[in-house]
Order: sequence, then C-alpha cells, then structure tokens
Amino acid sequence: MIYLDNAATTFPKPPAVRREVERCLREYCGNPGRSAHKLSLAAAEAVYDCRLASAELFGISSPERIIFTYNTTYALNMAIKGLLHRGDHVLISDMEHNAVFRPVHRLAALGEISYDIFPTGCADPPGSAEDILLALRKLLRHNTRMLITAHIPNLCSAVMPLEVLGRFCRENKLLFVVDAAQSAGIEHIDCEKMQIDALCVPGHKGLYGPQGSGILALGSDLTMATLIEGGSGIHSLDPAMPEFPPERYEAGTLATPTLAGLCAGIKFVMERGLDRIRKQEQMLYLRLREQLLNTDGITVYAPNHVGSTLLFNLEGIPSADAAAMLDRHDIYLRAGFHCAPLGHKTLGTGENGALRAGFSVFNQASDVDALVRSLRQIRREHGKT
Amino acid sequence: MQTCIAAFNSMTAAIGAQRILSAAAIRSSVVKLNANQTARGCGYGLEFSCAQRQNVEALFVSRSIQVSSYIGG
Repeated sequence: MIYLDNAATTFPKPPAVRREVERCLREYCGNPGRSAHKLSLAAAEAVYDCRLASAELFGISSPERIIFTYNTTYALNMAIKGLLHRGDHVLISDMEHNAVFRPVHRLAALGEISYDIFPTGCADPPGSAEDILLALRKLLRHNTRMLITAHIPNLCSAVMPLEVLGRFCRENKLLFVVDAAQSAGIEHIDCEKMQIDALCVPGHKGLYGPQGSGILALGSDLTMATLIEGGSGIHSLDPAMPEFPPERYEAGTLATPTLAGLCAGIKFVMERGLDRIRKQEQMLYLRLREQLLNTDGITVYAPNHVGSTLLFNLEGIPSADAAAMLDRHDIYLRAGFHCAPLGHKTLGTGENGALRAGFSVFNQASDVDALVRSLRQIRREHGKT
Repeated sequence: MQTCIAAFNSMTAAIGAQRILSAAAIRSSVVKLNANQTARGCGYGLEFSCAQRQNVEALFVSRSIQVSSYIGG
C-alpha cells in the first residue's frame, strides 16, 4: 500500500503517538480539569503538556492561549465567528478552503459582514509578496477588520509571506487569521513574530496526531465571543462562561487520549526538525514533478511552488476515475475538488477537479516511482500513450 | 505544617503555576476549592506550606502569574 493522501490526514502515525494514546486509555484517562483526584489531575497534566508543546512550536508565550478544538475547521469557525462583528469587512485569499470560505460566505449571506477575495499569485507565474500587498491595498475599506489566509493552500505548495501580511495587518489595524492546515509541522511559524492573532491548526496532518485534534493558538490577548457554551470545570455557579482562556473556549470534556497522542506527534516533529521534514518532502515533490512533466498527457498545476503537495491531472481521465484506478494499484490519492472550489478556480483545474499527491515523512522515493509507473500504465490501458 | 492556598482562575493556570513552583523546589498540590473559598463554585488552587508564602508570592509576581486570591497564612 502506498499512501499519498497525507494532505488530508497523515498515515501512518509515529509509533510514539500510537503508544501514548494507548497508554492514556490504559493508565490515566480521567476527566481533565473536573476534579483534583489523581486520575483527573494526571489527565489534566497530559493536556497541559500538549499546550506547552504547542505553544513552543508556534511561538506563543503563554500556554493558556492554546485552545484545543476538534480540527482546523472548528478553530477557523471559532476565530471567524468569535471575532467578527456586524458590519465588518473581511479579506480572504483566492486559495481558501471551504473551512474559511463557507463560514465567511454564510455570515455575508445573513447580511452580517461583507468580504472580498484577494489574489495570491499561486497560479503560474508565481506572484510576489508585493503583488499581494498591491491587491490588498486596493481592497481595503474603512470597515475592513480581518484578513484570513492559508499559510500553504491545500492544492499547491505555495507559501504565503506571513511576516509581510502580519505587518500589513498591524499597519491597517486588521485581525490576522491564518489557516495552517498544510503548513503546521512543515514550516516555521512564530505567531508573535509574524503578528498572527489566530492560528488554526490540525493535529492529524503535519503534527502526526490522531484525528479529532486541532488547535486555535491566539497570538495576542484577544477575547472572542464563544462558539459554544457549557461545562468548563471552573466557576460552575456562574451562568456565563469563564472570562479566561483556554477554559472559556473549551466547553465540554476534552479528548484526552487524542491530545496525548497529539503531544507525542508534536514531540516527534520537533525532534526530527521542521527543516529536515520539509527538505524530505520537497525532494519527493521534485522527483514526482520531474517525472510527471516528462510524461505526455499529464498536467501539473502550479509546479513552481515546491513543497509537500502536488496537484495534477491525466488528460482525458476524470480525476475521480483516475483515483479509483490507482486504488486498484493500492495507491491512495485524493481526487476532486478537495473542499477548495476557490483554489481550483484559481488554478484552472476544470470541471473534474484534479488528483492530489501529498507527502509525509513516511514516504520514500520508491512511492513516487510506483505512482508514476501506475499512472503511465493507466494511460496505456486507456489508449493514451 | 500550616498550609496556604493560592487560588487560580482555571485548572490550566493552577497546573502552570505548580510547574513554576516545582522548578523552584517548592512542593505544592493542586486542590479543588471549597464553597467558602470560592463564591463562584468549582475553583482550583495550589496548596503549599505557609512557610513558603513569601517565596511563592515573589515567584508568581516575577513570572506574571495571576493569582485570584491567597487563602490562609
């Protein structure tokens, strides 16, 4: 089996992650933050360890500003709905995932906010940071309050200039929200240096944690409106949620085994090193790109952005059909629109979307070669040599 | 040994503060506060020897740790 759907969920997970999830369930899975007995405290300690590791990885000085969620989508919804007010204007990039596009669109459809889409220059030829700033300046309004961008889109490997955008946001008094679904665990992110107000992170992708883990990291002392309310284990006689993070935003029992696994995943990433991880995945990208560009009838999208994700199509074969054929070769990729219609439109993939190969540290060059062999075989079988 | 309690706004804050005390070799335990210790219900604090109270207070001030109240001592 060759797994190349790591942009959706990394697989396999490091042994340390699997071990820690199992150890938590076996030894210390009390309810964190609800009691002071030993099992509850052991669970709370594990959750706190995960906050500390997350804060260190993302340049957050206070672990209390690490809020655990179920995934990036939940974190983005919390930031968007918790920070925006009626009448606000928002800028989102032309590569945003539906996790950004849909909540923003819905608020706009309700008449609460308005939004504009700014160009990232992800399509070839790549645009510069100055091009993005020029576009942003033209779209700024008196009521613009937030800028949302993916650090790396889920369709190509372009890296957005976060430091430049963070500076732009500060200069223009905008909240800066970053979707790090594809970059966390691969690119260096320092929320305070990059002036990011809200960083939204999945646990189950580049951090190698279990599904059901996500992070909303607050780069500054913001107070958001809550998305949900309920038990927080603190000040139970108050009808309102507590004022302080993280408990204010974490109603209900946290997923301790998941967070224990996430903590092990973060430690795995930090021990291996972001630079080493990125270089390994870039090497795989370049190997695949070179072979695909040398194969007739294959279109590679945004090939100048070298990273962990490569989007392509086989001429005359819809992407879903191609993915099904690859599945019969025991090669797993994701086809279609990847919950990112804005990005597909920007890259011009067409009515059938595209195939996406996403790498992890567990992929080898031989995986890439096997994929290319299968793609060439599929083309031969369909008379498209 | 007479014990004092530093009360916090959250379990997260209490654990963070406990780790600071631990690094300074000051023993403490996370405790759930009684109704007469928190009017808002369900609070957490750190119990430590009152002999260490000045050291604890100084340490928390130096690390900008917010304590909602000190009890005892």
